[in-house]
Amino acid sequence: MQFDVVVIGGGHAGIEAAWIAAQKKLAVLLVTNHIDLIGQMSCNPAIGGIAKGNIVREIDALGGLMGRAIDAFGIHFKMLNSSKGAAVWGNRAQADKQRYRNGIQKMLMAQKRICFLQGMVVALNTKGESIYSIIMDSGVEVRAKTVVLAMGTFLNGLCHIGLSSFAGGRCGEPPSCGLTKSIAELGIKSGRLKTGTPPRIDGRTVNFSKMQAQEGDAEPWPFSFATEHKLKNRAVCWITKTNSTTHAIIRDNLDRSPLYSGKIKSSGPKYCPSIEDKVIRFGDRGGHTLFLEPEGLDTSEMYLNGLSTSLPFDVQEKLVNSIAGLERAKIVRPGYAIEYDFFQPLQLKPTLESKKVKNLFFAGQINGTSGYEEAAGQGVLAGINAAQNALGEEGLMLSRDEAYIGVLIDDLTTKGTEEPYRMFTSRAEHRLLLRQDNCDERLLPKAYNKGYISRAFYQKRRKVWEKEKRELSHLAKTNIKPKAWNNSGPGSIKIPTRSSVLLKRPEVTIGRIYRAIKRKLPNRETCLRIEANIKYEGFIEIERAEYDKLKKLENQAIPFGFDFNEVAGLLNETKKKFLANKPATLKAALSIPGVTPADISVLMIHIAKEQKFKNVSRETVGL
Amino acid sequence: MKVVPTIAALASGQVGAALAVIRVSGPLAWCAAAACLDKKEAFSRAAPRTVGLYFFKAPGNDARLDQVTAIKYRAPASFTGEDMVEIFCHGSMLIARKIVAGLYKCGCIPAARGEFSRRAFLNNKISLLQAEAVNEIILSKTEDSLKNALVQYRGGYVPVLNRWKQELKEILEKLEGSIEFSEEDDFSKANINRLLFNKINKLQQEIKQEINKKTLIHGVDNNFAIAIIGVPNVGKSSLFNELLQFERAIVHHKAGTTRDTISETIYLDNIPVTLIDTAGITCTKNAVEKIGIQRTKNIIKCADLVIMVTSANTKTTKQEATIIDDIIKAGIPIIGIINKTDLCSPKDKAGLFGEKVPCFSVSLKTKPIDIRLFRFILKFSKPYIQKEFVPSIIQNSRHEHIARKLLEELTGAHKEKKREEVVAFYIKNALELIAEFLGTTTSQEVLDSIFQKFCIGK
Repeated sequence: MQFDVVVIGGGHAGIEAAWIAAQKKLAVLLVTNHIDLIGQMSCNPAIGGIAKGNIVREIDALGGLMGRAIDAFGIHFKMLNSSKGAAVWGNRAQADKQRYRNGIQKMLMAQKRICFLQGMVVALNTKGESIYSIIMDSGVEVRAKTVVLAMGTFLNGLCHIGLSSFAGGRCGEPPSCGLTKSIAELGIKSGRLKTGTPPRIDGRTVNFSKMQAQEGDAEPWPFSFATEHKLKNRAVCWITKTNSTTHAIIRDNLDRSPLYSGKIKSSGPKYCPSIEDKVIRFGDRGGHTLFLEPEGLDTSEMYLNGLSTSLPFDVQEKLVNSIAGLERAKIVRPGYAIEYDFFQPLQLKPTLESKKVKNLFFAGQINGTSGYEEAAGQGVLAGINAAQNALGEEGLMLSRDEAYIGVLIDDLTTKGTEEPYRMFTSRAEHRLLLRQDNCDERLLPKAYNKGYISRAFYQKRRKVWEKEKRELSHLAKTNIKPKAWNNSGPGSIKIPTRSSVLLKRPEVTIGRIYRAIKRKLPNRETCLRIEANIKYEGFIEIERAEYDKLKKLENQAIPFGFDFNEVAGLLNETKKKFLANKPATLKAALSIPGVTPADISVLMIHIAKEQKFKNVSRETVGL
Repeated sequence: MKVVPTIAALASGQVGAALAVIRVSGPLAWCAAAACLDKKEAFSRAAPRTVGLYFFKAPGNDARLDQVTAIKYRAPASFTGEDMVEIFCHGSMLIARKIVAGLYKCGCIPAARGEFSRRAFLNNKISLLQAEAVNEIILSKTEDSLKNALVQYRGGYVPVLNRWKQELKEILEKLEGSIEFSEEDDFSKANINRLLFNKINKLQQEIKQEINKKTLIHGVDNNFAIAIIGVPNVGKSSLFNELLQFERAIVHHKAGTTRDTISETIYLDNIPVTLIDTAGITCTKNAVEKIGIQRTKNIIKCADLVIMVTSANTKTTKQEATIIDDIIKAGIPIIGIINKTDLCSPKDKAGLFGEKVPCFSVSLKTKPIDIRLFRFILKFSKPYIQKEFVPSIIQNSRHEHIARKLLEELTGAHKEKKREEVVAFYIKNALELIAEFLGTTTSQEVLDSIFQKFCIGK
């Protein structure tokens, strides 16, 4: 057997990698422990969220699957942060887990180029500098031009419930053993991380009258730029809270928590903490909000979002029953923590290819991230680059001002991570530009140029952008007279003012502008794009100017043989870091953990000083 | 590794004085100095920070140039943090020049503007704010601005800036939390926002206050201006010369002698005051005199105190009364001097000034150096020139520029009500400005412009 692209792992990273590579008509193989579980949502039944929703849209614009799948199998849609500016809106949907999984499988299997193979990969073989083949537990060897590793939490996975632990990649599934060792033998270092999941509740035992319902949006926004059907909410989520009894139960049982008894030593996700962490770190806070989310339309199982825990089962039961509405609730599956191997992503190029082994790509949780969206985003990029390598074509890299995926991969490959990395809007310097409304304009042309998007679809989207441009230029040249404007809402004008200038005002809506200029309001999507474009224009320019300044600085080279010891004004600790890493540019210097912008300033001045000493004509004054 | 060059320069003033100081800094400082001194070994053996007496000999020339004292400093215990030597010679410019030239021959190079301070900054001996304060100390003309610069040199204002930074950071954290975790947030949104905007507002007010304080101190630095005015030939220039204690202005009995304005600095209670002599105000057809009178009127407008001079031997004219009325109406402080009491009693003229304008009678011609005249002027100027010491974070135009930009960002943030991401945008910019203020992040250009303002040898 020989394939162009072999993807190991059928989670959210693996499926995107396989799918996107197949778009180039390459022979793709997806290897997984269990074919039925391809596309499984291991943790929460939701896709998207703040910043994460933008990643889903970016995946979609690059030709990925996730957006289309969630539009098809979502049962509750909500645009988060919609009371704030459009730059921080984040679309989120609850999925029907089972239908989502089946749907993904159907989509993949409709793609003739993708082959499937069930089994465990135990070793990787290289030839020269490049990957050569994979070895299955059955002993079968599969030749591969390129390999994408996307094993999620399966590598030497160890689940914990209370003080008992058992091997597993997910609860109920065997882990993948042996592969870490084989990867390590290639000179790639591994580490250990931890994550967790909350107990699932039997919905038939919940008293919903004590909880607050959270309905989806009246008019849901789709994730995919290809979705044309109207989305429908078919389920409701429920909000409740922990209370002092819940917290007391947690405190009383910490000695039985693997997290606090010292049994688990690896770091967990700071921003998706277990309830144990929340109570210990943040105290009572008048209760921590919990969301009870349906796992699907055909099941009574519900996900208790916010109560991730690895306490023993009997404690979990007590915990759950202390919460309003869950007094009689039954746990269907207990919450658990899982420890797994990951590979410090500093060992990767910005294409997600290993620096050590050619044509070997890493994507998803094995790179130390958390979340379906983060995993899928890496999957698309790794898939594209594996395909590009297999074809001998130039790879795709996304920069920090192009996509959240760019921010994600840049953070991972230049700073590394010590805990499961979750995306936030605040990680992006270009937050006002990297909006969810313009993902297609940012990324679709890139994917199209590399051949991952059909011409027909590209043309269709171009029409949307052109319409938007026409409207923008119309607004830029159409004046509104005070008579037509004043008294139609807040804020008045004294002289005729351009519509685009008026729309910049925070309190002015696009609808009011179009009424004033008596023009037909474009559709909702176009309106959002126009409004965001105009309202953020000035800010984005400043953001970009700042970034360009920084970039210029970052690219400044540190002269070869520069003696960091000579730089007074640096802490000895910082000097040591520089001496050990020998950064070649200021950017590389800044990316070293613990190095501050102030250190960079000092470094920069010293480099300039050295250069100055070389070639300065000194001012001689009278003496 | 390139070797850091050793610099040398005259550190004391250029005008002849008893002593002159030459500074040398860099790895070759000790060698270069030793090469130029007669007792080379004694200098080499001398402990750092001790004073030795030597003869300076230009290299290649056996003649003793001057007797000097020299002190060594060992890195990093010196002003620049490098090896340093300070040489004290006699205050002849010729000697100083020859000494510096001798050092250049021994491997030193001329120091650029502010290079000693710059090296002190680069070697982490002083912060950027301290380096600036050194300059402010040297440039300050008044006790208040000196006091302020000294506070800054001791790092007295850094805690305030750090507090602003801390508060802005907290605001940003709240905003980012509210953006990223809007669903999970347990508090009431409106409440958070009100708190945040109150905080932003408080900072705005504080920064505004600092900028205003700067204006006050700046006023002092720009000197308090006293204008001497009156109709022609009442003795304005005599008063001017009297206060100056020398014959600066031409005094003549002919009316209209002074046609242009003349100004000089005098010290009242150690505070520098600009004293301005003006052309007499009259109805004239002479074009030159007309221009002079226009100037006088302009001077009055920007004077901090007006001294109206009149003579005892002339009748009160309507013009004099109008001048006084106009000045009072314009809100400019005014005092009166009735001159020429040797010729006539001042009683008749007292009515001109009335009760509102304090006046003093004198005969400048016959009774010069009247200490009571000084006391009188000082008594009425003092409330205006002796402003209370207001310490201000803002010491120079760089600080003011940053503070104003900071204020702009906060105003922008305060105006935004709904779009938290835009508020965060402004707060992030504000944080960067504070780092710039503190000098923790700074660019080559900023450093150049700061140290360019310094003189050589500092």
